[in-house]
Amino acid sequence: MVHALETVHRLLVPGGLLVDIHPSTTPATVEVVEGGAARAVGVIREPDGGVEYRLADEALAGLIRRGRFGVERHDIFQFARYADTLEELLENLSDTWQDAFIDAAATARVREALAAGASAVSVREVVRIARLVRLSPPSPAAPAP
Amino acid sequence: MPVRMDPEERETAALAAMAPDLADRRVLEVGCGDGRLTWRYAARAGRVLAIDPDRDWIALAREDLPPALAGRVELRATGVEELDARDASFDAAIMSWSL
Repeated sequence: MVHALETVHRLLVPGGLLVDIHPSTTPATVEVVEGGAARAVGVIREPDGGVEYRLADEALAGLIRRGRFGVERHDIFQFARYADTLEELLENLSDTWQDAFIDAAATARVREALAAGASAVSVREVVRIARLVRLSPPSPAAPAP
Repeated sequence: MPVRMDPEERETAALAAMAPDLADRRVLEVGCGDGRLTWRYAARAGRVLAIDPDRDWIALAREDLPPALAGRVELRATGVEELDARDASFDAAIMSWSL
């Protein structure tokens, strides 16, 4: 992560813009859509507990501390994906988020809700977004006259 | 029906709020995947080089590249650390779920 950020720093012009988008450490929720409203029925599990998101935060913070980038703005937003069936959702997760899984209890609640008429199943993530600017290393001090 | 990714376009809105000034900029997108996000901002950028180390994703993106963006977006299967590009050759970069 740090090497990737260092490479981006090198590829950007001085004062260039970096927008970073990565998931927060808040677990993603599994929801069912009933009558147009979403109801949470579980969370997405990850074997490593989402440690990579903490590492991403730390990598970015490290480059900021070292004066490579400055933060101009940051925010969070919710990112949702919707499927008509649990199987479609699981296939999508397998393609795009390989270490994510839905535990047996949440799976059962999704199946029950869909059988009872829920129109969709969704996964909702809390995502961090930041606008940073590439800083230049300080100029060497001018020699004393 | 396929899985709908961010149909509310909250990611698009968040990116537009963070980077409203991409016009005429040379943009590097790192981790473009199948181009899902790329298509949503590229029309208001100057030129975009969208990269992903996964050749399968890049192949999918090439299939889905909207004709209107064909002269503006270049897709390349590579990681950022292996990218063959000059220093200071981009005005903006987007790390797209890639950290």
